[in-house]
Amino acid sequence: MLRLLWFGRGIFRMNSSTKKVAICIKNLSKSYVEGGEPHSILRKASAEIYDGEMVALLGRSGSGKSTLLNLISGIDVPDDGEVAIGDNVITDMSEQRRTLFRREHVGFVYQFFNLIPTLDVMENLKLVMELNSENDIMTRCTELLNAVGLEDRANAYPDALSGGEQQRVAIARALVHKPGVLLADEPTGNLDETTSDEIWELIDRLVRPSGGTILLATHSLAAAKRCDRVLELTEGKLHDITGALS
Amino acid sequence: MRHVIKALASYLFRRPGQLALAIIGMAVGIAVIVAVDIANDSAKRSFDASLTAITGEATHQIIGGPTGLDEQTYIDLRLQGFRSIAPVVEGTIRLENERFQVLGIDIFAESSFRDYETGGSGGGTSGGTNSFGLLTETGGVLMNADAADRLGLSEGDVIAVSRMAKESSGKVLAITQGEGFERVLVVDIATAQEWLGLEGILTRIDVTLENDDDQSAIHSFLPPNARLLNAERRNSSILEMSTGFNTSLTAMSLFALLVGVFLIYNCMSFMVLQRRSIIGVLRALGVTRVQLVASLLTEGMMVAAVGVLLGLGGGILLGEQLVALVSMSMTDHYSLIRGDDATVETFTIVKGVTAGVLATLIAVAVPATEAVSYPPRLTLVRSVVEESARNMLLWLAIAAALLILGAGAVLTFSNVSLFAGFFALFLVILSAALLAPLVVKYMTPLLTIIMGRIGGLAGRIAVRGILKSLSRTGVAIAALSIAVAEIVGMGVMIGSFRDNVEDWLVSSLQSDVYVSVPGRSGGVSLNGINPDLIAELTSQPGIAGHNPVRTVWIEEESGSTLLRATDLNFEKMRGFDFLEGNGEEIWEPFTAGEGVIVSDPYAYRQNLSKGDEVTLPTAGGLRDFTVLGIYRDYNTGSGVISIDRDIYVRHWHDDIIDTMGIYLQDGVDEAEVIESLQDIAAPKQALMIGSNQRLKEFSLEIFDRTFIITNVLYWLAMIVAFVGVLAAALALSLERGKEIAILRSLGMTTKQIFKLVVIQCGSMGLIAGLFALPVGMASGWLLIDVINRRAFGWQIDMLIPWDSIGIALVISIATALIASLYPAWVVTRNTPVAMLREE
Repeated sequence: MLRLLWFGRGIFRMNSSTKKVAICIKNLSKSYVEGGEPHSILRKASAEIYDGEMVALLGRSGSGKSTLLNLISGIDVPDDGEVAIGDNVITDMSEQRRTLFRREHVGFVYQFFNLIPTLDVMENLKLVMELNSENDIMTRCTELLNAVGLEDRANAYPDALSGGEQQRVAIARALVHKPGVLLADEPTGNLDETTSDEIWELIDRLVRPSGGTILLATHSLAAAKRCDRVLELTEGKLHDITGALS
Repeated sequence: MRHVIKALASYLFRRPGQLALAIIGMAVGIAVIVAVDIANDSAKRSFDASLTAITGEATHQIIGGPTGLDEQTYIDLRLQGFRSIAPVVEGTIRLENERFQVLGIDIFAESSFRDYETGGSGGGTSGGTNSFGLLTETGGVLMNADAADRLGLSEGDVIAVSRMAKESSGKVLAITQGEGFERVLVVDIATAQEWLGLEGILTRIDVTLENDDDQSAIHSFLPPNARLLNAERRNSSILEMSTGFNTSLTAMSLFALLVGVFLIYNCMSFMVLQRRSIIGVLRALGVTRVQLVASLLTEGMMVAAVGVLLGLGGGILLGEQLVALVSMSMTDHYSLIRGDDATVETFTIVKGVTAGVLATLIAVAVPATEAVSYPPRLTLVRSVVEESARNMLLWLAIAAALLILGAGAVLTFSNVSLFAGFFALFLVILSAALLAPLVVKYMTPLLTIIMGRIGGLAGRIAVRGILKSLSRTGVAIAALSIAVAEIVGMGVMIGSFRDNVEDWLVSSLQSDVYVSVPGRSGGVSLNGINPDLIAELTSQPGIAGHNPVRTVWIEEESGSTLLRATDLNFEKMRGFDFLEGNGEEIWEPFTAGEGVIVSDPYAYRQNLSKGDEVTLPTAGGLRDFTVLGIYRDYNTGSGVISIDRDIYVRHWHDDIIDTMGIYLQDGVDEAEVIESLQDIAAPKQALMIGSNQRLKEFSLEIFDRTFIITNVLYWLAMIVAFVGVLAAALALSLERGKEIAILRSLGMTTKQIFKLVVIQCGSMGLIAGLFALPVGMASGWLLIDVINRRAFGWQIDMLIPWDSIGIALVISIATALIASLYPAWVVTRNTPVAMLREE
C-alpha cells in the first residue's frame, strides 16, 4: 500500500559500481557576502547519494546544510560545481527549467512547515498536483491525508493546526506528486520530543518504504542513526561518517 | 523609548521603497485636498473681492429697469440734499480679447465709496491726482497693475476697447493696486456711457444710508421705475449664485478629501500592521502598551510631517494650475474673475494638515491599540488580526447603515439647504467606504471560481489572498471604490444633465436662424436691432416669419432674473416642456397679458406654483403677474420669466428687439439665407447671425467647458486611488514574500507568480469597480436630485450613461492592473532563497 503512495520516478543514472546515483554533488562551492565580507559556506563539497537511500546530513548551525539542500533543489545556484539529480544536471538548467524539474521530481519538507496560509490543508496538497497538471488529484490527496491521519482536518487552515499537524501536512505535500527525491530540512527541529517521534514514525512508515531517495538535514544524532548513511558538513566539505557513528 | 522607536523604525528603513510610498501616498492625498480647496476658494474669493470692491461702502443701490436710470434722477436726488450718493455706469467691454468690467464713476461723488489705489473701500486715494485725470482726459482709464502687467501696458499707453463691434479708444492714466479691481477698468462716467452706448443713462446709483428714515426719504424721491435695494443682500445673492456654479467642484473636493484620507489611512495602517510581530516581541520583552502606542504614534507623526509638508507644497503648485481652469469656466458665466491668482487660505492649510494628522492618528492608533490589546503571543499570530478585521465587518455594516439613515434624515429635514445636501452626499460615500470590506467578503467566493477558471491555481490563491488579508486589502479597495464611484456619479450627473440640455435646446430653439446684437452680457442694455433693418431682413425671400425677442435682467435683492419678452404663438407654446400647466391652455391668457410663464429654477427658488402671483418692477412701479405655467429650462440658474412682448412693451415702455428668431420656408437653403442676411446687415449694424444648429453647438460647447475642471479633478482622484492600490499591492506582495518563496520552491514559475500578483490586484480593481457602480449611481442621484436642484433649481431626468459606467469599470481594473506591475516585478526578481532568508 505504501508503495502506491510514493513511486519514485525514473530519473536515475548508474555509477561505476552499478548503484543508481540519485543525487550527485560535485565540487560544489557557495559563498555569501555579509557586511561587505564574503563568507564561504560550501568549499568544493562532493558526494553521491544512491537511489532509495535515506541519508542524514549532519552539521552545526550555520554549517551550510540548508544552503546545500537549496542548491540540490535548485532554488539557489552555486558559485561553482555541479548538482545532478539522476541524469539531470540541475546547475546547468535555466531558472525556468529548474522550477519545472523541481515541481515534478523533488519534494521539500521545511523546519518551519511553510504551508501556504491562505490555502486550507487539502488545497495545500492539491497545489503541487495542480502545478504538475496531474489527474485524480482528489483521490491522491485524500489518500495522503488519510495516511498522515489528518482526513478530518482537510478544510482547516494552517494557522488552526498544531506544529505536529502542520508538519504532517508538509510531509504529505512533499510526497503528493510522487517525487524521486525528498529533501527535508530539520523536519523535527521545531517540534517537541513527542511530536518529533510521531513525525519520525511517519517518515519510517510512509516515506522510507517507498523506495525514493531521502536527504535529511538534522542536528540530531539519534535521527541520523535511523538513516542508511550519514554525511557531515564541516568547513564547507561533505564527509561520510556513517562508519564513525556505528 | 528610544530603542523601542528604533526597533520599530528600523523595520521601515529596511524597506525604503515602502516608506517612500507611504510618504508619497500621504503627500498625494493632501495635495489633492489642498489643490481642490485652493481652486475653489480662489475663484470664490476673486469673485467676492471684485464684487465687494465695486460695491464699495454703499449700503444700498438704486436700480432702474432694463433701460437703466435717467441721469436726471441722480441730479434730482442731489438737489434734494442727498450727499452720500454716487452715480455708476457699469458694463462689460473687450480689451485685447479679454473681458473687463467697465466702472464709470463721478470722482467728486466717489471718495467715500471706493478705493481703486490700494484696495478696500472708502476714504482711499481715489480722489488723488491720477483720478482727477479722468475728468480732463477723454477715455482716461485707471488700470489695475495686475491687468497692466498681463497686457504689457503702462501709464500713457493708448488702448482700443470694443463693445458690440463698436471700437473706442482710451488711455491708461494710472496703474492702481486695488484688490478686486483686477478685471475692472475705472473710467469717468461719460467715458463709460460712450463706450457702453448708454448716453444719459446710469446703471445704478450707490447710496450710503445711515438709518431707516433716510431710506424712506430717498424712496419718496425715486421715479416709479427705480428701486432702492440693499447692497449687501444683493451681493450675497449674486455670490451665492456664482458659488452655486461650483457645485460640481465642491462635490469633487468631497470625493478628493475622502479618497485622500483613505489613502493616508491605507499607507499608515499598513506600516503598523506589518510590524505586528515586532510589536509582539517588544511586548514579550516588557514594553508596555502605552509605550508601544506612543512610540508608533510618534513615528507616525514624523512620517506624517514629511508627507504633510510635501503634500502642502504639491497641493499649492497643483492648485495654481486648477485655478486657471476654474476661472475659465466661471468666466463663461461671470466676467469678474481674475483667473490667474491662486489664494492659499489658512483654512486650506489647516484642512490639509488636519486631514493628514487625523488620518495618521486614526490609521496608527486603531491597529496599534488593537495589536497591543492581545497577549504578546497572539500579537505574533497573523490570523488574529485578520480574524479581528473580519469580526469588525458587522460593526462596519451597522455604522454604514446608521450613516445612510443619517443621510436620509439630513435630506428629509434640511429643506433646500445646499450644505445639507453635500453633507448627505458625504455620509453616503463614507458609508459606502465602510461597506467595502463586507463587499469583499461576499464577492470573493464567486470571484475565486471565476479567477480559478481564468488563472487556474494562481487565480484562486490570488483572490483568496484578498479575503485572507482583509485588514490590508479592505482599505485599498474602499479608496479605489470611492474614486471610481466618483467617476460614475459625475458621469451620471453630467451625462444626464447634458442629455436633458440637448433635449431642451431642441425643443426651445424652434427658429431656423437667430439674429442678435453682440455682447449681451447682462446689466443695462439699450442696444437693439435697428427696426428698419428688422423689416429689411424679415422681408427677404425664403423667410416665412420671425419672432422678435427682448431679453433683459430684472435686478432684485434676491439676485438677477432674466425677463424674456417674446411673441409666442400657439405652436411655439407647445414647444415648451411644461412641468405645471398646459401649453394649449396657457397660450390664450398669456397673449392676453393675464400672466407670465416662469422657468422651473425660478419657481423652485421663489417657491412658486401655477396660479401664484409674481411681483415684477415695471416702468410704472411694482406689478403682480399670475404664474400661468412652469416650464423646464436650463438657461440660467437664476431663472427666467417669459412674458408676452406686447405686455412687456406696455409695462416697461421698452420696444427694443435684441434677438430675433427667423423661420424659413420649406426647402430653402439655410446657409444661403444666412449669408444673404449677413450681407445685408454688415454695412448697417454689427449683428450675430447664425443657424439653429450653430447655436445649439455653441451652447453645448459652453456646457462642456464648464465641466473641464471636473474631468481634471476626477483624474486626479484616480491618481490618488492609483497610489493607494499601488501601495497596497506592494505591501501585500512584500508581506507575502515568504508565501511567494514557498510557492516558488514548490515549483510555481516566475510567470505564474507574476500572474498571481496581477490577478490579485486586478480582482481588487474588479471588486472596487463593481461596488463603485451602485455607489456611483446613488451619488449621481444625489448630485442630480439634491445638489443641483438645491443649487440651481434645475430638474434633471436621471439617465444611466452606460458608456461612463463601462469606462469606470475598465479604469478601475486597469488602475489596479497597472499598480500590480511593479510589485509583481519586485517579487519575481527576488530569488526564493533570498525571500525565505529575509523571513
